[in-house]
Amino acid sequence: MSTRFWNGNMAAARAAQRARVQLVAAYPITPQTHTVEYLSQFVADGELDASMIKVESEHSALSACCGGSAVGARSFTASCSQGLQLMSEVMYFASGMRFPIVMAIANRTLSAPVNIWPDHQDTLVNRDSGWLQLYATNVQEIYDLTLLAFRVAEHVDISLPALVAYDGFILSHANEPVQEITQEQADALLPPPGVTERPILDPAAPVQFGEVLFPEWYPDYEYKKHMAVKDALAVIEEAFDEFAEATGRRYAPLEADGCEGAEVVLLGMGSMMQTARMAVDDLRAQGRRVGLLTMRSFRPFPEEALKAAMAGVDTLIVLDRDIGYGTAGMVYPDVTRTLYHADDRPRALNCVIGLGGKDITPQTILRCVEIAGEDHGDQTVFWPDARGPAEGIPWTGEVAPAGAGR
Amino acid sequence: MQPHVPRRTDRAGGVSAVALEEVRLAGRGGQGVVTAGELLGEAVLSSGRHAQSLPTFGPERRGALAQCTLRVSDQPILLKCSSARPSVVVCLDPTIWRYAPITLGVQEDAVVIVNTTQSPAKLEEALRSGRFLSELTLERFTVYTLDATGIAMEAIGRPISNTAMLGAVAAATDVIGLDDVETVLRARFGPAGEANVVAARSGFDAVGGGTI
Repeated sequence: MSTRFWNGNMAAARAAQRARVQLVAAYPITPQTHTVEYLSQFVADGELDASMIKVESEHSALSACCGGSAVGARSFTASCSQGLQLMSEVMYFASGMRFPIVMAIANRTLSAPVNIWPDHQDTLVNRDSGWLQLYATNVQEIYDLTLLAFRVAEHVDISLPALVAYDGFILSHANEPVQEITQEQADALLPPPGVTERPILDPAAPVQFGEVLFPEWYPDYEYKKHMAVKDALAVIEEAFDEFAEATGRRYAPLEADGCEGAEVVLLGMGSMMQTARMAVDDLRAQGRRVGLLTMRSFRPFPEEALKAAMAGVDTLIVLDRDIGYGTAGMVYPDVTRTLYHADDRPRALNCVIGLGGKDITPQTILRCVEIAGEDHGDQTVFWPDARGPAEGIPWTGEVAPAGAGR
Repeated sequence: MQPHVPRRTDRAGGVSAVALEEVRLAGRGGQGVVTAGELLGEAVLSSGRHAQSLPTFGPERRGALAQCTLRVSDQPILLKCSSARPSVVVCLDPTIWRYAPITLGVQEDAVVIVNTTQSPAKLEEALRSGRFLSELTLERFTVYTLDATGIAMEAIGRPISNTAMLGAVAAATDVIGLDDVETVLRARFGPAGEANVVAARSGFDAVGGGTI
């Protein structure tokens, strides 16, 4: 195994190569474009034996992947932001027809105003598309999670599409050391490409996909899809276990660190959780009891692990790099819904940070922790970095001037 | 020449990071700023330390400001933000420091290496003058200058200054050694590697006697 110095898009492309993808169809959009360019190069150089389908839009890209998946081919695409929104219609077809397509997403916010920088708005507005959603915190995880996404998506009890999300630029364009997985290791972790027990289009044994389903049976179909998303959690855990044995790198759908009895626990997804780790290490060095919950799987949602991590926790702060306009961030509602019925129910606050690529620095995280110790009445949703740079600028809450309750 | 000693990077606001050094590379799109960051990072990795190179982009285009931060540490690098407190600034372009604040957040005792035909003293005066967007109000910093474009034209036949500047980084700082730079240049550029090695060596020699 060798150490590479790859950017995030290269890590996603190399993982798809290791997975021996058979069909790639994608359309370029900043900051994802490299991923497809690299794969195109691998195919041209004979490093990857896949059909590279040129398409005229993201809608067509995902449609082509659906076609490939319908005949049993391991299919891969990549997108983000407006491109993902153009795919959105087809995302529901992909999950409805139970096609285990894997998609890499270099998270980028949604226009307007035009902005090419990262937040999780693009993937989270597709929360209910029936896709599994994994979030990487560094470049190594982009590589590892993309490879494992094929295994989880293709599991015969799941058979759902999966996306692997990573922050645009901050991860997609950052080079970091990546431990490469050998082809033998990858082959041992994944089923052979194109070999599947799920129904596929075959002239010898004709089947039909996506036909009309009348109201009488529709809820039953939806229930099965709903349960498949839930059941994917155990499949992910099993995949993580086997991956840890093979590589020594251990992941969890929800990774808890120092949460028990903590005065404050920070929960979030993506690259900010590594920056948060730095801030938390510093706070711990000062004697503060601060925990971290890194969520790698947003769909399926790790409910039990979340409840288990709340023992003795005073305040949970959900860091959302996204906003459900008029309500709160989009991770927060799932967290509070889960904890409403938990035995140990902490106070739960929500910090909306880093929208449109606003830099999330250790000071941003420290500011979020400070909020837990301040009196803001019954205010629960905060925008700590919404005005001025994160460095040394007073926070602004939902109500101005800062500090007013609501 | 004073050796450049990595120091603890105080990332402000009480967050004292593990020993982490930040090098800012700046230039114009098309000059190889991002490639220089990657090459430096590969050289750091091969020396057994951890590296992260993070380009900062707007909507990219040739000729506009391009910057890349290289982070170096003995431990895995957790920091995932674009704000930096560099102790080394490397400017690949002779003029962009006038029009862009490439010295933002630079730490005391910084090393500034600029591709220009001006003398270090002249450039230091300009950076202290406040007449340009890159301004240094630090008490102490060291400026090195070299005609990296001229070196590149002679060695490679193209005005791509990045590999000559990597040689200068090897000479003026202890971020990386010239041997490591040569190794990654040969690995990256294949047959064109040797010409780039010549450029790097010339860059190394050009700042060997930099001013204090």
